[in-house]
Formats: sequence, C-alpha cells, structure tokens
Amino acid sequence: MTADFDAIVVGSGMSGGWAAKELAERGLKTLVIERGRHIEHGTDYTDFKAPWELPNLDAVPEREQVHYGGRVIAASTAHFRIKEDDHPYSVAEGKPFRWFRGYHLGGRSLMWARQSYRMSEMDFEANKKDGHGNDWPIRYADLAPWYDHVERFAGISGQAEGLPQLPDGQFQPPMELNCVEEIFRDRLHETFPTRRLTIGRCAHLTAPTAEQQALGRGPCQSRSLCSRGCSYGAYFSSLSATLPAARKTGNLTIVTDEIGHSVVYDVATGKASGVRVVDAITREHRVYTGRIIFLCASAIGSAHIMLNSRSERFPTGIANSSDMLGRNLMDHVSGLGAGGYMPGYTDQYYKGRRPNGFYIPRFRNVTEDADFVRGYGFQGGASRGDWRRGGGQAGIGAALKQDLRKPGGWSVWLAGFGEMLPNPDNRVTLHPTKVDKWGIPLLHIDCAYGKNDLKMARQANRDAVEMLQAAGFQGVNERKAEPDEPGRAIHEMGTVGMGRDPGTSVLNGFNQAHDVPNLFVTDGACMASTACQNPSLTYMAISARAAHYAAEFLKEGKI
Amino acid sequence: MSDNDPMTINRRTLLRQAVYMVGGAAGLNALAACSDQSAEGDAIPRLSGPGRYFTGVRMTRLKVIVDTIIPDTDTPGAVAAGVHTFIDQMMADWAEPDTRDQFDKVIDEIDERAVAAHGDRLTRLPQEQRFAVIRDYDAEKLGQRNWPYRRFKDLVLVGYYHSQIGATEELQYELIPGEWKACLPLAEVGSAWAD
Repeated sequence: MTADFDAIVVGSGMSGGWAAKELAERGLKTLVIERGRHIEHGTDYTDFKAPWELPNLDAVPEREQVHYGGRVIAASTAHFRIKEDDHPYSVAEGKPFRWFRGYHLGGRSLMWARQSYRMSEMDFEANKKDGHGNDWPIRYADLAPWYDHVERFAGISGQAEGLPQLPDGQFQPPMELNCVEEIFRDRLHETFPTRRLTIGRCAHLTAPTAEQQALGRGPCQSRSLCSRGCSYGAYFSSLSATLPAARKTGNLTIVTDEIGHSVVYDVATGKASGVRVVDAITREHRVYTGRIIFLCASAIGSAHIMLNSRSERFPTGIANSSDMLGRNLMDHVSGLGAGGYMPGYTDQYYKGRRPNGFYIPRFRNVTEDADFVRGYGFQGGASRGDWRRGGGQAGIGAALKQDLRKPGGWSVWLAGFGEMLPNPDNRVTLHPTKVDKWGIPLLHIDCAYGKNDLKMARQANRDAVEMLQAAGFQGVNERKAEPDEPGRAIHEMGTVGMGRDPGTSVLNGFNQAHDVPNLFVTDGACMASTACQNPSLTYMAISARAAHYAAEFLKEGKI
Repeated sequence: MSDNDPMTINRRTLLRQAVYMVGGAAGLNALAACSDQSAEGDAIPRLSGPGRYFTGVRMTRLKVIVDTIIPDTDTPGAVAAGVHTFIDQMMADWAEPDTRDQFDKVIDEIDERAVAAHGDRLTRLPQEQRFAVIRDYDAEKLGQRNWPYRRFKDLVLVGYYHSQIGATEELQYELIPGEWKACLPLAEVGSAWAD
C-alpha cells in the first residue's frame, strides 16, 4: 500500500516548522497537521495599530479574562491564546501546574520571547556526572553543526563572549545595552569577575541575509509589538521562516483544525503507519498514512498523543516498553530574581523599543560553587519609568502632567531561570475517565519541584539581590520568596526523553523511538535535561538534525 | 448611593427627567443651554447626556474629575482626548459589575467630599475648590493604597496617554521607530515616550 505522504509532522510550531522544512527540502512529500486554526502571516496580525486604534485601548473584557486563565491579556494578542475552558486538563491535588498552549498555525513560535541560547557541553554531560536523569545520547559536538545551521537560517542577534557554559553562535549584529545596563555590566564585572552580563541573544534580524530576504523577511524595526505577530518577519517564527521555506519546495501540505489523536501502529511491520486525527470542527476521524512520523506537538502534547496511541503491542501508549513515556516532566524554575532602581542618569534616555533584554549566563557550579547541582541564568533589563507611574503616586492637575511629560527614574529587573532536575515521578498520564469535547482523554499532570530545585531558587534570589546591590541599585527586593508553579516558565520539557538505554528512555540519539523506528519526537518532549537556557533554539537544532537522519534512514531503506 | 437616592436628585436630574418626558435631542440641547445659563459662569460644565453606562449626573461629574486630573495646559487635556467617554465605554464594554460599582463609588465619593467641604456639588464648585477636593481625595486614597481609586486613576491615565492626543501631542509615540538607539541625551529626545 502506498502511503499518503512520505512524512507526517504533527504540530506546526518551533519544532514542527523545522521538521517540515528539513524533510520537504530533502524531497519528502510532507504533511503538517495543526490542531488549531489557520493563521495568515501578516493579514492575521495586529502590529500596525497604534494604541488609540485598538478597541477599548486593547483591554479584554473582564468577564472574558477567566477564559484565558484569569490573566490580564491584550485583546490584540488574544487570538493567539486558547480559551482554557475549551481545553481542560487536570492536576494532582496540591500540585499546581500551568500549561500554556498555542493552538493555531505556527503554535508558540508566534508567542515566544525569542531568547535563543545554545546548550553547552556541560549541559549534555550533567545527567551522567551527577546521576540525575538519563545520560544524553548526544553531546555538544553532535548538535553544534545543527546550531550553526538553524542560527544561519533563523537569524540570531547576539554578542560572542567566549564562555564555555554558553557557546557562541552564528550571530547577526547584537542589539545595544542602554547606559544603565552598561553601568550594571561594568560594576558587576568589577565585583564578580566571572559573572558576565551580555545583551540578550534573540531571534531577530539585525542584518538579514539574502536567504532571509528572499523569504520576505526584513530587519527588526524596534517596535516591540512582537506578541501581535510581526508583518516584517523580523523575528523567527514558523510563519515567517520555516513553513514558507518548506512551501517553496512544492512538497508541503498543511492541514489545520485537525487534532492529532493517536499514532497508528502496524503490528505486521513493527512501524507506525500513520496518524489518526479528529476534525476540530466536525469531530470526524480520519487517518493519514505516512512512511515516517514526526511528533512536534509540544512537550506535553506529543506525550499526550503517544499515551493515547494504545494497541495490543503497546497497551500503555506507543513506544512505551520502558514505561518512561510521560515521565520526567520538567520546566524551568522561574519567578525568581529581584528588582531595584538606579538613582541619577536622568539626562540619559533612548529611542525605539528594543524587543530584548540582557542575559547573565550561569555561574553557579561553573565558576562558583553551590549547595545544589546545576544552576541558573538571569534575564533582565533596565529602563526608565513611563506615565504609568502616575497611577500610584499622589498628584493631579498641571503638575502631574508636567511630571509625566518627563521619563521617570531608571529601574532594573532580573528574572532567574533555573534547571529543574528530571524526576520520573513528575509525569503526565491520561485521565482515567474524563475526555475533552473531541472524545480524547484529558491529560493529568502530576508535577512538583524537588529539593534541589527549591534550594536553587532561594540562592537565585540571594544572588540577584546581591548583584543589584553591589552595582549600586537601591530599593532592591527579591521578586518573591518561592518560585512560580511549574509550567509558568512555558519551557516544559521531558515526557518522551532521549537516552542510550531502551529500558529507561523512549528515544535514541536520533530522536527515534527505540521501539518504533519510523517514529520521531523532536520537540521539548525529547529533552533529557533542561539546562537553564531558554530551550527553543535547541528544539530547532534537534528537529533539523533528526529530520536529516530520518531522511537518510528512509533513503537507505533502514526504516 | 444610587441615582434614585433623593440625595442625588438635583435640579438637573429633575430637568433631565422633564426632558425625557418631552423627549428628543432638541430637549437635551435646551437643557444644556439652560444648564449653562443658570450656572455659575464657565466653571460649571454642561450637563452631559447619559453615557452608555453612566447616568448623565455621573457623566458630568466624571468629566469634571478627568478634566481636573489632566487639564488643558499648553497641550489639550483629558476632556479633549475624550477620556470621560472612554471610561464610560469601558464600563459598558469591559467592566464587570464589581468594577462598575467601584467606579460609580469613586465618582460619587468625590462628589460627597465636595458637599462635605464646600456645601455644594462638585460640578457646581469653582475650579480651585474642585481641584482641592480631588487633590486631597487622590492623596488620601493612594496613601491608603485604595484599590478602586487606583484602578480609576490608572484608567484615566491610560485613556489619556494612549489617546492620539496624549500619545502624540503631550508625549511622543512612534509606531515604527525603525531603530534602537540605546543611549541618547534626554534633551535630544525631548519628552517621554508614550510607549
């Protein structure tokens, strides 16, 4: 029987876009299945509206905010947010977990903060060295050329620093630090010579290549309206970059509003034969057949589909002979850090809205010891206050107006992101009884920080406060004593982990399921550890690498 | 205190009810004219018609309050920017009942302070007295970290500084800056950015 497609990719976000591009460019007829609706690059964005042109000055009605998890969000970006009540999940008692999703073409590549950092050799070695989690089946050298590859295509702006814990990449020109950030950097380096502050490395074009321009992408306009979508294609997303490139090959088919239900397993061949989907609108089921399957439905989403792919051979979910499917759910330990203000420098200001901050790479367990394993990095930024400060300070009339006509004082924030250890008890399972409106069992999430994670969080707060104070910031306060609940960092990882041993991991070093050779998982689900860097760049590199090998294996008749 | 409370039924609400009985926009215009003539010169604003949410009485008070918080100076103020209309629209389109109640109460409380301090409605006080009433209320409520008033003032500010007037005449706004200049003398930039 001939398959409908050579390759099927479930999910169109960060990872799925890359898998689709690389597979299609290798001549494979590729289907991308997206559970959410179609988004048209440009047309469906709201980035050319000035504040006063947005209805109700961009406020979402209070009664509707509950649908978005009770968070105050902007109306101009609400169409990239799911209504939570349409997509419920359950959590273990006393263990809150926040699951942010992006159910539309492009997925969370339209919603991300665009920070792009490489993992380092010490990150890939960490599990083996301290014994937490499975040893990564790859090392930095395996991924380095793929980091190069994705950085050149995506366009990453940044400053080379020569740090072993944060390898440099193929950078476009860095954005500049403002004057108070420069002062912070200089004073930080004086007090703590091995704590470095560098401009954020972000997926924004500052000097677009010919390849990027040919895709219709242009340089960043310093609008910082990224969350509304960028009509200039100045930041990397599936819609600005990978899917258009895949489309150019003539090998790409995209379907939207079709929810990945399960992977179909063919017991006769021992391979996956296709993907069952549920039409999000009609609720009809259909099956697409393919020779290789890539799951790129996000960390928890890909595990969900696999857990729901039950057969006689795999009664607890496809490729789950190890019983590791759904386990080792991780996020970054977040909500940490501190803020303060810098007196003076009131004659200094800036122009434009830089969609980026600074970054302080990990120093704990790199150049400085700690009473925990692994470490954290800090994102941050300094800026001058705006008219919003007037809401909390007494004063009205002409004097208020006159005061707010000037920018306010300088303030700074630091937000730590810490490495959460893998723990097989942190897991997702299918809910035993409840199903969603498409008849798919709900996902149940059971996840909590461990001792190391919490110890790290407290030290991250202390370090943040100490660094700001040392640099002369005043009114320094830690953001909060305890980290946010897992999931808040929106860096969820694990659940379909890579490893060397088929007995303790689901995927091998090519992101190929140990049990099902033509099934690949390349999103955050595959991560054997989280490192502390923002993970999207690694998903890109891993997806491109896996697609390369999958196409090779197919050509060689191995799968 | 609701608008049906006898305390708040003043001459103008009675007049407005009369106008409704007669009916029509012509009646409202007549009322506005009447209100101007019978008032204490230019310090007394025209009675606003009812908003989409607020009663005419509260609309009039709201207009006076936002005008006092952000007056016309060398640039147009909150009324020119339509902040009172914006807040009314937000009550109709955005606010939940609790929020509406909070905003009603802020507006009425300020009026009650006027009565207590000067023996007359806020809208009937000369500008200096209005200013003093709202200035003291603002300082007191923010000193107490009073959440309803903080929300009210925030909405006045966003309504003004994100209006075209506030963003481009009072402050500066560039939809497409085109470049990031990280360090510039403030004197070269001029005023604060609206965003």
